[in-house]
Order: sequence, then structure tokens, then C-alpha cells
Amino acid sequence: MAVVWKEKQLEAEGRGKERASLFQPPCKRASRVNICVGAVMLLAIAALAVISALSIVSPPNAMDIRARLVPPSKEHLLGTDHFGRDLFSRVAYGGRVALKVGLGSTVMAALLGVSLGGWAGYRGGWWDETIMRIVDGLMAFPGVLFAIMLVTVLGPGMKNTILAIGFANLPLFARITRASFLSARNTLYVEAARALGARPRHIVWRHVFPNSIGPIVVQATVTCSTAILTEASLSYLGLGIQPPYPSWGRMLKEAQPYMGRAPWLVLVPGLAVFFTVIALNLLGDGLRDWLDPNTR
Amino acid sequence: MPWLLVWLFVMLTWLGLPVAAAGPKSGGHLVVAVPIDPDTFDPHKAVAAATREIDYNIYQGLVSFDTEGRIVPCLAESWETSDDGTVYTFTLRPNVFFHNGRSLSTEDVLFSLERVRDDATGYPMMWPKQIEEIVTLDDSSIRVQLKAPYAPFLSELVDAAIIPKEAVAQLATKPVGTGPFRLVEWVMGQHVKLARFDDYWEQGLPYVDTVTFRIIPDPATAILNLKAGAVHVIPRLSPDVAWQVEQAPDLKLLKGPMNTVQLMAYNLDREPFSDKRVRQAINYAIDKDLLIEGAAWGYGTKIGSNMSPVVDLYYADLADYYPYDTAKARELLAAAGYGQGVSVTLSLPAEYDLHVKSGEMVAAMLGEVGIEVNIELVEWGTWLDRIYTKRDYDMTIVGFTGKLDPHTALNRYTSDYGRNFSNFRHEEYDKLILEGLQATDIARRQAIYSRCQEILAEEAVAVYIMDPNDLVAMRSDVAGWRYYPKYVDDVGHVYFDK
Repeated sequence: MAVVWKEKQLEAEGRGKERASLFQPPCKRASRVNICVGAVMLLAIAALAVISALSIVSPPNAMDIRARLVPPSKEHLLGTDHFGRDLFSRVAYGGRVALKVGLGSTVMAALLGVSLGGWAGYRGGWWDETIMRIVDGLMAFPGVLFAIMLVTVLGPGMKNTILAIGFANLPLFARITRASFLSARNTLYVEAARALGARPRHIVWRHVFPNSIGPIVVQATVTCSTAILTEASLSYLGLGIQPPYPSWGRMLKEAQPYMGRAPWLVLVPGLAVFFTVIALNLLGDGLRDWLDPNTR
Repeated sequence: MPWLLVWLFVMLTWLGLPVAAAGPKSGGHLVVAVPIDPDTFDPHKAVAAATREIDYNIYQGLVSFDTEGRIVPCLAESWETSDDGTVYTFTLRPNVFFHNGRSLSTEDVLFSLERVRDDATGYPMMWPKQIEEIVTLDDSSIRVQLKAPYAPFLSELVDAAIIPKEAVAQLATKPVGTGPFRLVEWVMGQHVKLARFDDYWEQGLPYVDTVTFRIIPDPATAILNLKAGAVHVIPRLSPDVAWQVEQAPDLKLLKGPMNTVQLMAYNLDREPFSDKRVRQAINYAIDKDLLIEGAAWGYGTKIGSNMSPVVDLYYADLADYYPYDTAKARELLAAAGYGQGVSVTLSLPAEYDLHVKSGEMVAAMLGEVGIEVNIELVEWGTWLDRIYTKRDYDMTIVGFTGKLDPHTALNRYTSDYGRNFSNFRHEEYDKLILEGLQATDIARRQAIYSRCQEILAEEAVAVYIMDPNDLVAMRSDVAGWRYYPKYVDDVGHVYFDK
């Protein structure tokens, strides 16, 4: 997809096609297109989520048994589910849930992971050993399984889902931060700062951290998309968001028996998950290329 | 015109077929889809309904039940009850063989009943405690002496399987009974294979040669298998997928009562449920007809107390005791001091889709009268432990299955009953239940248990919702399925009508 976009852009600018070959390292313009497309798609989903909070759409849990499994129509833009609840309101509300869980757990994972990894990377020594061995231990669990385990212990619900997914993603941030801190620690500019008598806190905040932020930001977008997928899986298994509140995963599960009869019930939340994840991945892809010093 | 002839021809042959094929045919291999494995084949230790539904075909007791829930002779040909209702004398049926080839004797009956009574066995029911002593009188009769009259004795006895002493050590995996089928193979998570027992005592039964219970947890997968012909019967089909069966030309759907009481119970020891007016308000606020339509696609019978209409001898029709009336519900809530609204938690067993769906509808309905309901899904294991045993909950929805005797169905609400998880305490009710045990006269028992059901409704101990329909999906060439008021799959009477 990225390549197609890039080609179109280059063509529009009247440049030769050969320059946009697959084998060329990605250039900055392509990454900017990815970022834009991803951001626009995300904004659209965010707008949907905001709409669901307004009273112009019917409440997501309002039932009307007499109008169940109604196909898309004027009254119900995307049709209704087995309780006659409006699918548009539910998918929009589900967007709110997805964004909340995605952002919430990412912020949590990033804050904790970056602090731990940064501490380990900057201090080194037994701090590094201890923290990183624990992180390695956590990493040994597959993310979704780890989240399932945590939710089973903590109990289901929005807050616990965020906590569980955030915790499951923490090791990735710790790893990445530690790696960039380690390499930054030995750079000339840090040495220079140290030689000038800068305090460790100053060095970390002013020199090391800003130079490590790139990979962390990229990791955050990727984590956000996997977090949304994990939330969908957890809710599909009945462990995430509790009924009657809709989450895309839960909607997919509920739609399962009626798949042959009301396909829109599966298509709509399925596509919603697909678009959100694609948007975040495009954004992450673009950011990575954009922030990567090799393509600068 | 030619079409009319064709149609006539089809109609005539269709109408004529049952006449032509008089009587069931023998032979064939039946495949039944069930959602979970049995827990153990030791009939005195099994607690799961999933076990009983299969081992009904392997094990038998002294007495059994018919499709109406009446007690009928089984391994005992006949029995006599003493006038005071404490002594039962059973006469054994001659020429009954175990699957290992040995014939049934009174020694086996004695051994089995003693094993059921023995605390070390871990028999899940309490009634064997009522037995004073068991004595074999001669080769074919055995006497059971009870400590006190216990009216539900015979209906409890249906589950006390008679087993041969020599097979007891390996019973959990190698069952030996007297039923129409013997176990051939059990592969956990895959299937339970049964084959016809040639020396079975009931003439002409069973009809099919083998029965395979395939373990298929997902109803959608089961339906696909049914459509493909890889499965012949799906008992207790989820109403969500019933439409698929109704639309398929070579499948049929049978509907019958399940003898299950689906109810929303609340914890009477907690606010606000300790107030009778709140409980009544909740009853008024729930539109049961709409709930049955919404959660069970209309496949259910409305009830009003803790008994299913299947038990028609004792059933008191209280289904409309609390008609749907939100104004009245609000009034009662206001009178109880909850006019400003109240927030409660509804815990639902996650594995039971019907209860979860019902819970979602209840939450919406109670929301309309100002009761804010927070739904919490709990795993079945947690439900049994935290809610049913420790009674740590506000409200929950669950189903009580297959009770033949009104005592067994209603006993759970007596003050000191171990599983009285509603924490209901009512002096008159306790007295009536005790009286019912001693009463041997049917009219007296009817009066007692009607009153008990009335008390439960009056006190609004729970919201008694429905007896869900037992939907059985099958290939159209399968015949002879029988409905019982208990959770069993009787494959002994099933045959292929081709």
C-alpha cells in the first residue's frame, strides 16, 4: 500500500517511475504519506467515538426486541443486532472503548517500560541485570496469554483490561528504551556533557532521552494497535468489556450465531477493527521511516 | 395440471409413509453431539449433568421415570410401601444381566445402595441419610427401611445406579451397568462410543447398533456437522441457532419443556433486597414475555414460582402473579425509600448464554424504573464457589434443572438448607416442607406444595422467569426421540426411519 501511494505521489510530481522501485530505501515523502493517511483514518475513528458520546445517536444499549436483526436502513444506518440495538451507535461506542483501551494501556506500558528500561540502561550494573531479567521473564509469556492471565486474576472490566494489556506490553518498552539508552550513554555528546559537569538527571532528560524518543514513539503506535487487537480478543472471550456495553470483540462474539442471517453484524465490527489497526500500523510505519536517521 | 399431480403424489406418499413403515426399525449408527465430556463414569460420584445425560443409557436403578415424570418399575419389577411410608420392599426383575455377563442379584442391589449411603463414596445427594437399614429378604426381594417417612424417596432412587461389586474399582473409566448400551471407548474431548448390549432385558431395545456422543463445544460447529450428516442429533440446542435448523430442508426441530426453572435470585441478606417491596418492584419491572422473546427467541414457558409446569401434578400456575407494571414498580421502590434510584450488581455465569442474554435484558428493564444494574460475568467455577456456596453476590441468573419431586425442587428455600443461597427464611415455609415429607396422601401433598409455591411468589424470593424449551435438532430420518423431565438423552428408543 505504501508503495502504491508513493508511486502516485511521484507520478503526480512528474518524476520517473524507476525512482520508486521496491528496492529503494523508503524516502521521507512516502513516510509522510503513510503518516497522513494513518492519521486521517485515526481521526475519523476518533470522530466516530466522539459522536457516540453525543446524544444525536441513539444510546448503544437501547433495546427494541421488535426490530431485531434489521438490515441497514434509514432508521438504522448499519442495521440492528439480536436485541434490536442500533449497530451504528454500538460500533461508535466500541470505537470509544477501543481507543480508550489502546491509548490507556499504551501510555501505561510506555510510562512504566521507559522508566524501568531507562533506569536499567543508564545505571547499568546490577540494576540492569535485575530489571532486565525480570523483563525477560515477562517477555517469555505470549502477550495475549499474559493479558488473559492477568484479567482472570484481576477480574474483567475496562480498567482491568487496560491494566492487563498495559502490563503485558511493558517489557517491549523496557527493552527498547534500555537499548537506546545504552547506545546513547557511550556517545560523544553524553561524554562531553559529563565532562562539562552535567548532573545525571540533566544528561538523561536533555541528551539521552530526546535521542531515544524515536523508537519509543514507533513502538507506542504499534503497541496501540496490538492493544486494540488484544482487547478485541479478550472481549471476544468474555474477559474484557462487560455486557451490555459494546466492544468490537464482544460484538463479533455476539454476532456469531447469526452470521448467515445478518452478515452486517460481523462485517461492521470486523471492519472497524481492521481499519483502526491498519491506521495505527500506517502511522507507525511512517513514523519509523520518518524518525529513522538512515532515511534522513 | 401436471404440477398438481406431482404435488398430490408427493403429499400422498408423504402421508402414506408412516403407515407403510409401521414400528421402529433396528440397526444403524447414531451420532449425537454434546458440548462437554462426562466427569466420570462412576455413577455414584458423578456430579455433572453432562455425565447423567450419557450414562442414563448405561446404568439403571431399581426404579425409573417415564416421559411424564411418573415413577415406573425398572430393575425392580414391583415394590410395596408400608402404610406409614417408612418401609419399601422391592422385588427384582428376573433375567437381568450386567454388561460383564453376570446376572443381577439382590447382593448387587445391597452393595450399590450401601455404597451410595457410605460417606466415603462421596455421593452428591443427601437423601441416602434417610435410610435406616437395607436387608435382603430372599433371592429376589430386598427391603429398605427409612428413619422417617420420606415422600420423595422413590423419585430420588431413580439416580441410584445398581452396579456389580467386581467392577467397582475401574468404574470411573470402564462402566458396567444393566442399561441398553455398554461403553466401547471414551476419548476425552473427542467422543464417547457406546454399542448395543445384546442381553438387555427390555425386549426389542435398543434399536440402533452403536451410538457415538461426539464432544462438540461450539453450537455453530455442531450445526454444520448436522447439516453435513456427520451428526444426527443435537440435544438442547441453543435457541440462537435454531433458525438454521428451521430453514434446512432435511433437518427437524423438536420442542419440549426442559423442567428447568430459570430465575433471577437475589441475596436477601443484602440491601436493598432485604426489603420485600424492592423484590416485588423488581418483579413488576420485568416483562417476562418480552424477556423470553428477546433472550430465548420465544422458546420458553413463563413461570411464577420455583416449579416448572411439567410437574403438572404439583404445579401451581403463578406465572402472572406480578404482571408487567412499571408504574407500580416505581411506587413500591419509592415506598421502600429508593425513589432516587439504587445501584446493584448482577453476576452472570459467562458460559450460559441464555442467562447472560436474559441478564442484559433485565439490566435494560430495571434501568427503566431507576435501578442501575452493573453486569459482571463470572466463570462457572467461580459462580459455584463464590455465589452458590459462599453467597457473596447481589443478584444472579441461573437455572435449576430436572427435579421430579416437588420436595426436591422446593426444599432449597428452607432456612437451614445448605444451598439456600437466597438466604430466604420463612417459618411457615419450613414447616410446610417438613409436613410434605411425612404426607403420603397426594391431595395433602398437592395442597402443601401449592402453598409453598405461593409463598415464594408472594415473598418475591426471586424473579421466576421461564422454563426454557428443550430444543432438539435432528436429521429428518431420526425418529423415536423422547422427552423426559430430567436431563437425559434416551438413545435406546431412537431409530432411523428411512
